[in-house]
Amino acid sequence: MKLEQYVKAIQKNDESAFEAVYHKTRHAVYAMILPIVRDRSLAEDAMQETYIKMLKYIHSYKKKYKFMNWLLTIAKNTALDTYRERSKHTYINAQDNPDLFISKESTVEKRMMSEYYLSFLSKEDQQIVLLRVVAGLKHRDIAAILQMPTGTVTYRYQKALNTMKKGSKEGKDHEKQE
Amino acid sequence: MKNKNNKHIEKMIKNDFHNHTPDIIDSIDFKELVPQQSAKQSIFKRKLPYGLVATFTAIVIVLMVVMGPEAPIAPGNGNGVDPGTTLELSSKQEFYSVGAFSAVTLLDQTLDNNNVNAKTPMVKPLSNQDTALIEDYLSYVNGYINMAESIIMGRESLSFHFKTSPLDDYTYSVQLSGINLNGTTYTRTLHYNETEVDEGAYIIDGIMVINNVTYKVEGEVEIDDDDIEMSLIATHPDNEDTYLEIYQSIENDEQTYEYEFVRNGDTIFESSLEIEFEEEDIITEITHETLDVELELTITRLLHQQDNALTIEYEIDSKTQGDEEGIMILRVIYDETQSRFVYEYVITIEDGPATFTLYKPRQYQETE
Repeated sequence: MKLEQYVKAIQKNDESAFEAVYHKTRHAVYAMILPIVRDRSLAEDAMQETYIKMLKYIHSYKKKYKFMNWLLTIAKNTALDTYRERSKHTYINAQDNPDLFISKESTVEKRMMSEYYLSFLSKEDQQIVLLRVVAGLKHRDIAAILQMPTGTVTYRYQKALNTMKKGSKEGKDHEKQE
Repeated sequence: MKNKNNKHIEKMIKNDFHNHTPDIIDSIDFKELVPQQSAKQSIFKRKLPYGLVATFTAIVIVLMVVMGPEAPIAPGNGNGVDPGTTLELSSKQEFYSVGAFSAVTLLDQTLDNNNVNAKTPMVKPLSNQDTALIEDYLSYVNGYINMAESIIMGRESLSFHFKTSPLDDYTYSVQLSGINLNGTTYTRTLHYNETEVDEGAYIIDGIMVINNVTYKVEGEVEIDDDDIEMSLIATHPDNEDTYLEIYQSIENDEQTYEYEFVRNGDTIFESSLEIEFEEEDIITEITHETLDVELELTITRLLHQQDNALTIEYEIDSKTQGDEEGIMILRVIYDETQSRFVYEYVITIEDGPATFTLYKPRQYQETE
C-alpha cells in the first residue's frame, strides 16, 4: 500500500496506518532534520514534533501534493524553528559538544562514518545528499522541498558526491603523511 | 553515470542513517492528536481529464499484456515510430474497465498456471560473463523493454461496449476489445457495481474473467481539479491474500504507476513506472524491487533521432549477487535468418568486461 493510501486511513483514525507511515518515513524525516539542527538530541525532539504536527494537521493534507513532500516540509520548518529556538538560549560550540553533527574538527572515530563525509559539504548540499540517499527521493521532489530548480539539485548532488570522495581521499593522504 | 566510489559513499551514508535514526513512535499519542472528524473530501470541480487519463491507462494495459513471458512474437515492419497516438476515453466506465483490465491481466500473468505460485524472476549482475546467466537476465529485462516500447511509442487502440450486466449480482458491464500481441483480437468484460461516495469519488466492485479464472476487482477513483487517482485491487478467487494492487496517479504532466504483488499476505515484488515528457526526450523510469534485489532501468528516447535507438541505463543492487551498473543501447533490427524483427542490445558494463551484443525477441505487434 502506498503512503497516500495510509494517509487516508489515518484520516479515518486508523492508528496502525500511522505506524506504517512512521516506519516508512522516519529515516527521511531524520535525514531532513539533522543537517539543520546539527545535534542528535535536538533532532530527536524535532522529529517527535514533526509527527505530532503531522497528526494534528492530517485532515488539512491535500492529496494534490505528494505526502512525503508535505511531511518533509513540516520537518524542515520544525527543524528550523528548533534550531532558532536553541540558538536564542545557547551558544553552541562544536568542539565542546561531541554529539554535534557535521563539523570537521572532531576525529573520524567519534562520529558516524557518514558525518565525516558529509562534513565536506555545505548544509544545503548535505540536505540534498541525505534526501536523495537516505530518503530515496527523486531530484524533482528534493527540488520542490528545498525550493530550487531540479537541474540545480541534480548538478549539486553529483558535485557533492565528488566533493566527498575527494575530501575523504585528501584526508586519508593527510593521515598517511602524519 | 556514478562510479564505484560514489556508490560506496551513498551506501555507507544510507546504512549509517538507517542504523542511527531514533525511534520516537512511543512518544506519540495518536488518539489525542488525531481529531475525530471525517476526512476532507475532494471536490469534483470540472469535467474529467479523460483524454489524458485514457492515453496513459491504455499504455498501462498494453504494458500488462506485454509482460506475459509466453507472448508470441509478431512479425512487423519495424520502421519508424508514431509517437503520441492517443485514445480518447469518454466516460469513467471506460476508465474502470481499463484499470480493471490492467490489474487482472498482470495478476493472471504473474501467477503460474493460474495457481498462487508466482513466477519469481531472477535479476543478477551480468559481469561474471556466464552466458546462461546473461541470457536469463536479459530475457527478464526484455519484458520490460517490450513494455517500455509500447509506452514510449504508443500505438494502441481499444474499443468499448456498454450494457446492463446479465449477471444478477452486478448492475453494469463494459466490454473492452483490443488487438493482442499475436495479432488476434481479445475481449474482456468487467461486470460491476458503482457507488458514488462523494462528489467525484466512486467505489466500484466487480469481476473480470481471464483464462477461465474469475478475478474479483475492487477499486476507488477520485477526481480532483487537476489530477486523478485510482487504486484497484485484483484478487485471486481461491486466496484473498493473493492479489495485485495498482495505484495510478496522473497529475499535470507526470504519470506514475505503482504495482504491488502480494502472495499469501507477503509482498513478492513492487514495481513502479514513471514517465516524463521533456522537450527533447522521453524518459521512462522503471523500478522493480523484491526482497533480494532492486533493479532500476532508466530508458531514454531522444526525440528527432533517425534510428530510434533507446538508451537504457541499468542499475542492479542485489543482496546476494553484488551490485552492477551499465548501459545498453537498444535498436530494433531485422533478423534475416529468422525473418523477423528483434531487439539488438549492445551492453557495456561499467568497470566490467568488454562490450558485447545480444539479440532478443520483440513482442510488439506492428500496425502497417
